[in-house]
Amino acid sequence: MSVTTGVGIAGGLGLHKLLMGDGSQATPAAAAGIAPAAAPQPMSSATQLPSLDAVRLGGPMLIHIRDLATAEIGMLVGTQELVYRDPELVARLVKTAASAAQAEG
Amino acid sequence: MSSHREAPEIAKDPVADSTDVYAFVSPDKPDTVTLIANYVPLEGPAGGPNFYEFGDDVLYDILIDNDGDGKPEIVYAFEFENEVRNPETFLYNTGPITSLDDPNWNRRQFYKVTRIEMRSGREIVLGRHLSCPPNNIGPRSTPKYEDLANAAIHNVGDGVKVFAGQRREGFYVDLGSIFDLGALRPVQNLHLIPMPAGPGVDATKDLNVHSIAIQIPISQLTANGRKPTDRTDPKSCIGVYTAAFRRKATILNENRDVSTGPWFQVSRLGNPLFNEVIVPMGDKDRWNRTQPIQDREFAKYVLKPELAKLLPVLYPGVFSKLAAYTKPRDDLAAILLTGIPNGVVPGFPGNFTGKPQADLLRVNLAIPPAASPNRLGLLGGDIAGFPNGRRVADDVVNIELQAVAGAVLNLVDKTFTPDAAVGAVDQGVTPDVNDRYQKSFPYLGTPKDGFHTPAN
Repeated sequence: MSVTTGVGIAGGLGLHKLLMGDGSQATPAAAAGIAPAAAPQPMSSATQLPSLDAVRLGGPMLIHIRDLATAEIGMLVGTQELVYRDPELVARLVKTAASAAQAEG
Repeated sequence: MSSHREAPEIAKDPVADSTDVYAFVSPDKPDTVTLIANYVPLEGPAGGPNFYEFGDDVLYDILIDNDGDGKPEIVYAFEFENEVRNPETFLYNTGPITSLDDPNWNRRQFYKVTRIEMRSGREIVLGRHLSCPPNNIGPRSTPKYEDLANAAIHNVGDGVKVFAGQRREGFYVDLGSIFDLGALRPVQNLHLIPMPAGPGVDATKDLNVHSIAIQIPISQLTANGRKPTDRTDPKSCIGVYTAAFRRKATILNENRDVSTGPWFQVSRLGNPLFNEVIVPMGDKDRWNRTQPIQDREFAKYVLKPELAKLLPVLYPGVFSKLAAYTKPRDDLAAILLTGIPNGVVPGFPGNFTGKPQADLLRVNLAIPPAASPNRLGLLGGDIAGFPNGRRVADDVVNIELQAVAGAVLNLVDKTFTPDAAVGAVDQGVTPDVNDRYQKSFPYLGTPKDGFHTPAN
């Protein structure tokens, strides 16, 4: 199992800061609230998961796979998109989706 | 249309679809400038039971570049919220609405307006929970509509006024004819598929729109904080555009959809008709999602506009000089992408803001309002009109059609002589300005009501 560290919910650029850049909202480095992709770090067991009791997201969190080839994941939360890579998670999600698709016929 | 339903994706999302931008020195208060961004195209006045409104999941911006770099230094952001008094009824109103807090008005809309100074990151909330007026429904529901609309003009301090709500459509166009293979009824006898000439038809005269209007002391928009007096100084000019944003993802649920992620631009607009007739179909959606400073990517469409190639084909023999012109259209690039430098148009000190190419509506704030406005703006010798800013009654269709046909090309290329017919490029639509508009803020007229205008 692996999890990703090195990205945080706080500290992203706001919408209007985007407008001061080159204008692109598709390029992760320039887009509002998109953190640069970080390398995954291995984690040996689920017991290392931090307590989530105090976490307040302030809204729904949506995770999508931006690029299968690079295992790049986008996490949409609040007014930010955090981008990171997690090949193991992507592999498990894709396998699950493929199984579901197969079951659906 | 100016920018109504101008691109495939945004045509599916009316509340985020910017239709027109206006920017002009206020004629009745010339120490201020009025900026208007219109949304929600082609509102039929009989729009019940769910009448038109702004999106409460859309962020609306009016953005100002005041240093010529093609990027905004000042942003006015508008966020809307809905309030339903009684969810047990299907009715928008349960009796006459006689005031903005009338208990008969069931579904109300409010907004917050914030001024954002980009350099410092300073955000100033100018007003919260500001009321929009209701839609103009009819004589039973909104018997004194002008009173309701006037009550929805809010003074938010420092000389700033805001209004957000339904207005009568100010943009006029013979829509049905122009998009029937470029036909202009007054000269359609000369068309490739000829028909007898006739007067133009104002397709939008009985339609409404939703307007976000703000009147601001000029000194609050300039880079140096002063009202400019030097008409030839590029710092006297600002560039204006509007943009609408949605959250990047929406999850549909049975009861209430939820959205998350960063605000993502889905619509923008500076000059009328830019995305509509300059940008080709394959790039329209992308254009809406880029920033003006990226418009150098789209400059090729300005320099070699498709419409300039079509006119000689659609009107055989009429535009032979235009047809023979093969050089890049520097005249259109100046009008749409950089502003017109001083000295190009006789008597006009220009509205050039700098070399960066960006679709911005540029207005020279040192030029006072015209005593007798000419709806053909600069083409009609009125330097206070489009493309020096844009007033609500400016005939932007005729101005831009004539410009594309080469009316002012000789000002930047002395070797070109405009075709004799260029002055006859006319959609043949003349609005009654006293009926259509009003003389004071927010300048766009009282919206048509559904009872008296039931069939649009």
